[in-house]
Amino acid sequence: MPGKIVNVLVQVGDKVTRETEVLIHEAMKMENTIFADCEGIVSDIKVKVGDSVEASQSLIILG
Amino acid sequence: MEINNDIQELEKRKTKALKMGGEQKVALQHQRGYLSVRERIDLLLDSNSFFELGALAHSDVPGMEEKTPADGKIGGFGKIDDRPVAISANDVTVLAGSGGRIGHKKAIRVIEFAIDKGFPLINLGEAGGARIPDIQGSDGMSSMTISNRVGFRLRKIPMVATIAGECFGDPSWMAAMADFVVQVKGSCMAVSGPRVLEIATNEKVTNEELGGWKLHAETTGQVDRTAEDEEDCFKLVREFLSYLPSNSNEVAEVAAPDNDAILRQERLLTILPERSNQSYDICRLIKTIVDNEEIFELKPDFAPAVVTTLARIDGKSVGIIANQPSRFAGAMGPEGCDKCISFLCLCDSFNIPLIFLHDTPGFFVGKAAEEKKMPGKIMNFIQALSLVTVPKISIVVRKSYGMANCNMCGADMGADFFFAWPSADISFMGPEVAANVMVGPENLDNKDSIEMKKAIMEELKRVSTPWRAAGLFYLDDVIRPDETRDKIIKSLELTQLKNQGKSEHLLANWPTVF
Repeated sequence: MPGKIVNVLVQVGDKVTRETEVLIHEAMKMENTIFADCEGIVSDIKVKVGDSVEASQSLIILG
Repeated sequence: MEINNDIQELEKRKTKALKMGGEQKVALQHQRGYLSVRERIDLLLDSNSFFELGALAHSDVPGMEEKTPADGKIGGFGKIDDRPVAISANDVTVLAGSGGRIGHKKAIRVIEFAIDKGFPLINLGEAGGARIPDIQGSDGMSSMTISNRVGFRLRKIPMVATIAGECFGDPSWMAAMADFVVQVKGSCMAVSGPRVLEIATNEKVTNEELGGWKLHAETTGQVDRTAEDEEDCFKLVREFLSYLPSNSNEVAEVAAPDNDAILRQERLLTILPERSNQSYDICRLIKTIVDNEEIFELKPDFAPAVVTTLARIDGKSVGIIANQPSRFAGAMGPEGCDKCISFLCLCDSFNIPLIFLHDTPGFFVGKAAEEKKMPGKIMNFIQALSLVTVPKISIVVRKSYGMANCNMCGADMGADFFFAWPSADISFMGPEVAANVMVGPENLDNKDSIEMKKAIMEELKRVSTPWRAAGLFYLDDVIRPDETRDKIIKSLELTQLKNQGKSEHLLANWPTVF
């Protein structure tokens, strides 16, 4: 859903699983925890704290 | 002796019927990883309880008698947890499970009997649609309409549909009318299959894309639960039915109460996160309150910002509608409204009391929601809510803003009891958003305005606490979180005293899919 990135919890090179919290996103004045979609290693982070994001936008690329 | 010969003939015919489409077809079905229809029925029902009708039936097309055992449709009755149920099931080993006239007649017989006598109907689906050429021609088509009698159900009995393998036509229609649909992973539910589509419209599509479990569980909401395999599927069906009465004139059986539940209620004192904009899993809160920490969610992956779940409290079946702050902030969109309406219809039709747990920042707003008729969806929900006549208990746990407060059964929305936790935050919109509107967007950066906005926000936070609503008796009471279960038990006692809290069934003919 559209909203604002309020925290980025991973760095490039981090290993993540489906249980890893990667971003905190805020919408409707509520924090929403975003988990990794699958296992992998973070290869690129496309957003920073304060960015406005849209639904379906790529946020983090896993390699 | 002649009698013996007659009996031998009967045995021969019955044995042939039990072999379905023949050993080869059954072996093929097993190879594909699926059970035969008779194995399905055995797995679903209490052992040796199947009472079949029409095993000796066959197609009415001359020359097809031997090739159509039971005419590809198994029908009859049986028991689940010692309660009667009716079964109508496709046999995919007989001409690909295609529907013939006699099979259709058998299905209607079972459906009408179940409605008349008052017990659940379970449709075990796996079929490729109507049989060609039987249905071709003006006589064929006229002889095999779905029948007005199938459409006329008025939610008098619970109706369950399972989807395994390829389901086109008949099993999809039955699922669309059902109260509870389980789809086995790897199966497909659609109007027509890829082979028909390729010729009819040149569309090239896979079964998964056309009607796979992911599509229905997450996007269309046309299935209520996804099963890993058929064993899991039938376990889900049995579990679902355990929460329901056999028909709309009864209330669900009361299970043994959970005497240990009282010991865990203090967990509720610390269940909410520290900050009001932090999310948490509402299912943990629900499980603390209900018996044995057991919930049975419907459509868990469709519109997950709202949870609709069956559960028991003090042994009694209840339906719970709860906002889920950990998914989409707990803000319901158009699909969330549809999900709630279908749950209201289910609970109201089968005399299951409803509990609403509010923690929502409001409805999901924006272009995407408007494109899907958001005002219409919200008001459909309101209209359905106003027709609910089972007991309703509404509890504000934390946030309850705006129109969503009304839809979640806020003040003057028909709740028998309306409670709030001390943490309740009830208003039209969040303090920050409201303060922005009051200050005016053009003044937001101006220093005086920032001070003014802060002061407004403080005041709005103060007036959103439950004390004002309680003081003016909009709320029946403000309750300690750890007494929630006890308040629900007492509220149910009071609301179910007369007529066991049975509904007037005003939602009985609300559409099953919308």
